[in-house]
Amino acid sequence: MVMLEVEDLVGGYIENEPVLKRFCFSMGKGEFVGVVGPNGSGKSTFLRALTDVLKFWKGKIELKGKDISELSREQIARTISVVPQDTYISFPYSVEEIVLMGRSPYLSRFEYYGKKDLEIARKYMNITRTYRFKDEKINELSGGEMQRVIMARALTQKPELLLMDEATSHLDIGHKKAMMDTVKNLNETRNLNVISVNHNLNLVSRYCEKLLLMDDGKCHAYGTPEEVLTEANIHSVYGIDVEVHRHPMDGNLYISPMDRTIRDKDKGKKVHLVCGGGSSRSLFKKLIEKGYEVTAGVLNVMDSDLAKAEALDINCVNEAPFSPISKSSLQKNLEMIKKADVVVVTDFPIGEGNIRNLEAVRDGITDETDLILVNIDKINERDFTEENMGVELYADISNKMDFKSVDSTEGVAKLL
Amino acid sequence: MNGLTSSIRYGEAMSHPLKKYYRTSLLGFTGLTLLTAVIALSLGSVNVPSRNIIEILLSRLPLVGEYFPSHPGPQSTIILRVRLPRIILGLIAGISLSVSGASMQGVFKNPMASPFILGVSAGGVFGTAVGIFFGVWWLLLPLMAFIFAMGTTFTVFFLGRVRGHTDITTLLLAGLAMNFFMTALTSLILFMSEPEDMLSIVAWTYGSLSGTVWNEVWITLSIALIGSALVYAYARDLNVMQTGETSAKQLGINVEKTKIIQLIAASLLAAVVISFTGVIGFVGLIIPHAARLLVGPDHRRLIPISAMLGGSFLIVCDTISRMSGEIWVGVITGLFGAPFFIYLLIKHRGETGW
Amino acid sequence: MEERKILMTLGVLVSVVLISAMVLGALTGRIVIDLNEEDGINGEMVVEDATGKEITLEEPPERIISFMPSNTELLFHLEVGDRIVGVDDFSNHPPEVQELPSVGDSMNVDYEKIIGLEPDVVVVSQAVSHMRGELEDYGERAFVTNGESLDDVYSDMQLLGELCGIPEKAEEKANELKEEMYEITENTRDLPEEERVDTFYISGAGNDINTPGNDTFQDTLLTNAGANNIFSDKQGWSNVGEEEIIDREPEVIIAPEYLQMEVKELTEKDSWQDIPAVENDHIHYVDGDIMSRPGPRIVEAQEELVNILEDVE
Repeated sequence: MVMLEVEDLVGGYIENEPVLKRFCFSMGKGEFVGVVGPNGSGKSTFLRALTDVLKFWKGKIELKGKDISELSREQIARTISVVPQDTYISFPYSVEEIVLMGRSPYLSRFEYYGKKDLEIARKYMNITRTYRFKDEKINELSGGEMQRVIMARALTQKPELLLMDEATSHLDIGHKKAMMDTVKNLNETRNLNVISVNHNLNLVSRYCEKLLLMDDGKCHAYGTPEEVLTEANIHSVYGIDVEVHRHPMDGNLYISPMDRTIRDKDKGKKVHLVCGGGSSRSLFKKLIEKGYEVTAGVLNVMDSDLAKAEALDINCVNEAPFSPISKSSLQKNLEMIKKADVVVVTDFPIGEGNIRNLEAVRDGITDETDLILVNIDKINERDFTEENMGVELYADISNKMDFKSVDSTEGVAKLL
Repeated sequence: MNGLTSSIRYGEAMSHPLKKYYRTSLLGFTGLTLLTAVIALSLGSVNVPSRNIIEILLSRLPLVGEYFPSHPGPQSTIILRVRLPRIILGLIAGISLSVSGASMQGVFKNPMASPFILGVSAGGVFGTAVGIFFGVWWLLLPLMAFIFAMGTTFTVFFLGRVRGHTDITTLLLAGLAMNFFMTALTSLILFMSEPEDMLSIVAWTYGSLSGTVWNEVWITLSIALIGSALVYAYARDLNVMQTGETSAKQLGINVEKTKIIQLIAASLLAAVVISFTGVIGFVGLIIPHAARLLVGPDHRRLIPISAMLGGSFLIVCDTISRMSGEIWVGVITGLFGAPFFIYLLIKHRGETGW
Repeated sequence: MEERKILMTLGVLVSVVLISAMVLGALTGRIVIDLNEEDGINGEMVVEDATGKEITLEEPPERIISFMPSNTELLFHLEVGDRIVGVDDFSNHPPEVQELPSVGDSMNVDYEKIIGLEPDVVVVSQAVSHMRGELEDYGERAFVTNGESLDDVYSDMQLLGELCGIPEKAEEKANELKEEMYEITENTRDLPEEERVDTFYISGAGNDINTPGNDTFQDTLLTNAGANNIFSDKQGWSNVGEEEIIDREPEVIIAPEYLQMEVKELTEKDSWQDIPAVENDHIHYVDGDIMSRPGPRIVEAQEELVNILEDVE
């Protein structure tokens, strides 16, 4: 059953300045959709149009198959309820009185709350864990508690569709999670439709099965979080660059913004990193941010440093897992080193598999190359080759030319 | 915020002490009002023994009346024609002004709101001033006051409509503006008037229940009943609107309709009272506050309690007025009202949630 | 379920309204009928007051309440002062009046007191004509006199004479008064304009200066005394500004005694020093009461004015 169908919606607040420009949307029963988008893209306007708070100019909204303009206010209120971002109530109504107001759409003019209404209110106060302060005055509650009360009120309306208009924006992370968990639970167990407008991309991608990305009053993308939250989409809609990752533990998406200078590859010197085993730490990112053209090698396919590099589109010389460095890899590495203006050797654990990287450094650096060696104090502790070839090669390198020595990768970033 | 649990009982008891005992309080206050009326009936510049009063009243009942002496003459005239209508009008006026005040305060969500906030009093005073100045037949004066009072209110209304809906802030400002304007016009008339007329007009600004006759009671009663019923019928809607107009709409309340009905009913209540009694201030402002302190902000309770408190208050003030050489009753309500208001202010300084 | 509640509430409302209507209707209805009989509206004597309204009495009133000082004085002049049982606060002449019970003043009427005194009629003037309605609603008779112009003195006297059953005596006394007034103003009433004294009468001096215009009885008194009221072009009592006063150069200034202090302040102002009246110190005070009441003592007022103006010549 189609819960909501929006066609070509046009509407706004000031005449001739539409916020929604032929917006389309549709939602089936029991779906949990997150709505994201930049400020002014029409997210809140869309919600207001749904609840008839805003009169839209063109287009059509159908709620459960019926045109919304033919429904009475009470009818709409029995199907849709809203939890807004914040509610300012300065009057000392008790929590219970506020929650009971959710029953308004069901009562006729002279009717007062009956036993049934009290029961329903109690149930939802329990679910939102607000029952214990039902006699408290609403204007004496904290922000988080107040939002839960408003949620209780919205649920007491027994809606089929719950609208959350940035309902968690002002809550601390604990309250955010609690609220979203409650809603998710109701969505799963009672098939409650939810539309959650939110700025927190990570939050919505966790809880919503589908996302709607709005831009300039229209639908820009609609689909699963993975489909919608791509770097391209985000760049196109928000105008910033981000990294989209999957959390290693639970597979959820998370997004972190990056600085703009990252992509300016044409500027700056070439820096080649010889690393591995995670020893590059955050150097790749820092160097890219500083505008250097970064290369690296040779790295094994399983190496975490390789993953980091690839995430940043850094040109690397790869090697198959568990293999020692092949001749061709060595050659490529050598060439990169020759071309580089700066070569940085991190304190990676040296083994049979990558000893040839040090050879490449020894053979490839020229007088014009700046060489930076990281943490050369305890080379033998990380030298796992027989005959300590690593130590020997380091000695060769240091004899061959000047270098700068730093204690850690932070030092490298500072130097460059 | 974590003293909450422990302060639940404490907070309950300290404010809204009568919240739990609403029904009893309502009954109690109604009884108090009736008692006040009865006592007021026995007081006045002419001494009428209480026994006579009772007999006079009883002698008027349809079937059993014959068995009681009717004390014909000045005594019965005073009781039945002077005091009784005056006390009843005082009751009606007190009820109307209090209910009107409660409604205005609810719609504007503003503790400073009074029944006269939309220009009812300024318009009424002007109407009376014009009438007195032009020597209009005195019977028509209340009508003139009423027409100008409601006329001013409707003007404010139309000024306050923004893009098809009634904007509360604009209404407030429009009310202020019209108040100033009508007051200025009245000052103009005062300037041009002869001293006797000036005195009449000024007296009207302070209100008086002197000279009340039964006709006035009927007219006021009918409009007061309609007005109060309307306000009460939309009381629950008013409650929901306190949490914000958008929220109210999303809870299925017809916000526009509620606002219009409340404001018109409240203005009617105020206008009809002042047309006959002149402007009696402070009742509509103070009484709803006092009621709110006792039973809380739920308008379904606030309105009846305000009505009863207001009725008895005004009867008391009028009785004092009668006993002290007919000092204008508006002066008495002010003398009581202002200190109480200051007390409220001091007590609740910095607190939201009046 | 919901409809039942609506009906119930409506039912309660309607019943309450009906019951109250019945009770109150019963009370008022019976009052109107009963008191009409008691008051003897079906009496034999019919008199018309200044507004043309008729009141009915069985016999001339024995108990009168007089609500305006001018009426009080007229009644005493007609020698029926002993019938007065109550007066307003401002009635103060003749001295016997001080002993009578007071029933308030035009702003604060004590109706209870009035009713308590059981008058046969309450005499009021046009200035408080609104009292008629209330008095009648309380079952009392109201008799309205004019009390505004000089001629009203004579006509009111006769009206009151009719009311009290002494029309001939009233006519006699009215004519006497007329003659006296005529005599006093013999030499002054028809003076040509050049011979008249420019006079400024101050009737009020607070924030504004108030003076009588051409349709006031003070103006008539002044004109009859040989004055030229410098503000006779105005209607009624009006406020005038300093500049106008100075411009019209009054030769004499007259004011009631109770305004002495205020007038002194005005005449001591620099801007006023060139006014002829101030220069020559022709500033006179008269008894405020007699100058503002169209009653029998206008004779005294008229005389005083004539004397003042004679001196100025």
